[in-house]
Amino acid sequence: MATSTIVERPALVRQKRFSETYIGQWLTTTDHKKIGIMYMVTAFFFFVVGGLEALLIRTQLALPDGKVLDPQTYNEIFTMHGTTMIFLFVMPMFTGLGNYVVPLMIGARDMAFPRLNAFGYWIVLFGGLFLQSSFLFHAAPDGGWFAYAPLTECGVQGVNCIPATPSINMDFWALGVLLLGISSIAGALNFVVTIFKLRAPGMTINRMPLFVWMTLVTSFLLLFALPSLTAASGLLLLDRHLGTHFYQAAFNGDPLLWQHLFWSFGHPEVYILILPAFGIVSEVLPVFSRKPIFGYTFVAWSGVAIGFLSFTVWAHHMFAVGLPVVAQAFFATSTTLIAIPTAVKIFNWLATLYGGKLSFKTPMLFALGFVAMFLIGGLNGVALAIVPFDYQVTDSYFVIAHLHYVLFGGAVFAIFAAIFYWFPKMTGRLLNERLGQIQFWLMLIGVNVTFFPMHILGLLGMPRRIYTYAPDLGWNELNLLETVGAFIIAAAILVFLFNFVTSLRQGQPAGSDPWDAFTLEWDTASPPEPYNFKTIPVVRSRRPFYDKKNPETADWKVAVH
Amino acid sequence: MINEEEQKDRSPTQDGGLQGQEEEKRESGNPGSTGVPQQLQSESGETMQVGEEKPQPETAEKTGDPPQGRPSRARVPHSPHPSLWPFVLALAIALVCLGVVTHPAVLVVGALLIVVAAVGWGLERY
Repeated sequence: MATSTIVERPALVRQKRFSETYIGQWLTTTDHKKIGIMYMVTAFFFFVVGGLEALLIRTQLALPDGKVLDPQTYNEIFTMHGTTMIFLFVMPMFTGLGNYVVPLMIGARDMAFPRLNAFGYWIVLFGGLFLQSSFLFHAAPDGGWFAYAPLTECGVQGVNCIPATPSINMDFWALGVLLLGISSIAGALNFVVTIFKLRAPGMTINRMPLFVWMTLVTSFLLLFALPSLTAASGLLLLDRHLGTHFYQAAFNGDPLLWQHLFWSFGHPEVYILILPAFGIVSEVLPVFSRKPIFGYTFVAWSGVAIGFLSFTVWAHHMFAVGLPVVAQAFFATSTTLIAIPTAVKIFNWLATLYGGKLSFKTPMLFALGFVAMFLIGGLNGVALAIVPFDYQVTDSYFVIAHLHYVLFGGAVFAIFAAIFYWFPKMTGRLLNERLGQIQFWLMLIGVNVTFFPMHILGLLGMPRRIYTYAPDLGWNELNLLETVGAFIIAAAILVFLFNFVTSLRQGQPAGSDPWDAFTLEWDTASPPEPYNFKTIPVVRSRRPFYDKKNPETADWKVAVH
Repeated sequence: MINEEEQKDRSPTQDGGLQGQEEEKRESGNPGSTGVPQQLQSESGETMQVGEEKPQPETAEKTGDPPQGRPSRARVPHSPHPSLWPFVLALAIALVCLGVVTHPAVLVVGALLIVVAAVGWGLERY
């Protein structure tokens, strides 16, 4: 009799891949939405770091003869504040928002180069950590976010040059900026290809949402402006370590070369920081006015005009260095000229509001706050374009007031408008409206209490980057007031953080379209599926989702779009 | 442009993706040609009637309107594959920078890791 032995075999269980674990999902993701969220969380972390640095600066300056920080630490703190806010907060935040929203808005399933996209994010993270790690080496950059050579020259003693910044502080800055530049180029290339190649059928260039338009223009600005900074930083490193003398007049170098190279990046950079904000506001205002944007074509192409003109204005940062009169006249004219397309946008936003059914939800409040604050920053910017006036206030607190009205009153207000607007799409929950309103009013008050008195201090002659001041200069009260304002802003940010954490856990469910919005990202689940759209939508007008919800009054039926 | 690798990621055999999207663009017909009322289904599950009336072909041509879309063949469209190499490459480049300002050994480790990451990225198969 035949017998057989039954051997029990263990059931085959597939082992989880690393990319399927929780940490692995985030480390290996190539999904544009996850990468967008990582960008935004990282950027917000650096915003908090930069904000703490700002509070240290304001605490030092609150009273005359302040001794909260020593002079070297103060130099490091204001340098890292500027560098962090510009390169590690505003730029990555807009890249993150673009990453999340642009493919959804154009009806694509992802960015064109998903792995390059992930690489761009990781470079930002490591570049940011690299820059901030300089504090651990007691060598944080200390030459200002503009790193003027020849004051940042000569890292190695004994090399044939005049030692100005002998430690490795500015090496951290130059290398950190190079790292972050790699990320920006990767992101910009990805946006350009995605927007040109992956739009849904029917979404012609002139039907693209305005945020997509502005992201496209910003990407081109990055591609054309960053090489100048990269070259400048490279030459600085060569000067500091290999004994070249590109920026040292004593060795037949040109100290103004740095300023030309830096500002030919630096002024387009201002628009790199503000054009996406224009795009956000151009999305939020129509939705909360229940109208299409007024003058779409003008709003879109004025962004292109601003982008083009931004390459012709850099030397207005250098009026005081002794430029020839013809050059001063040219740059004053071009700077004034750039106010025209900017004003076109503002008038179009106002016309969008006019006659609309306005709903003052938090995103709308921040968008309106943006328009008001940016207008102040724009007007005092035009004042700075007038050469004789610039001579009087250059390198004073007037300039600090101007740039903070543009970058905080402008870019940061728009960022919060975007966060409140798209948070429901990203998480499926609404941020708390009451806390949002409290945050908005605190920020509006804080911004004006902090930055408006800086105009007066500048006119009174208080120089920027000053470590402390004597008590008999008439600056005491205004400085104290500014410090109070800075802490009001900090309180507003705390309110936001509380709102963010609580709403993430127990916020009101948002549904897929809480604002009754117009564009394609709202035609997905909240949060969207990994593939975004099961069926690629077809676009027939500038408001495709509005058309879908209102077939009888669809835009494509009533107007040629 | 999407390279071959990227297109492969999204090949129709793997159920849709971006190439599927390109195909939809090519394959979709004229909106009015079927005369069948279109039903659009949102990802959130809402179903909506676009309208009974048939858009006039000449109007569509005049306004440059696109052809109406057809549901993708994909059941669940394919998403890009995960990859650890972007993370490794970025870490490696940051290590090189850190090595420049701290110790040459860190620089060497970073440089070697760049080579590993670049090769790994290039040879990654899906």
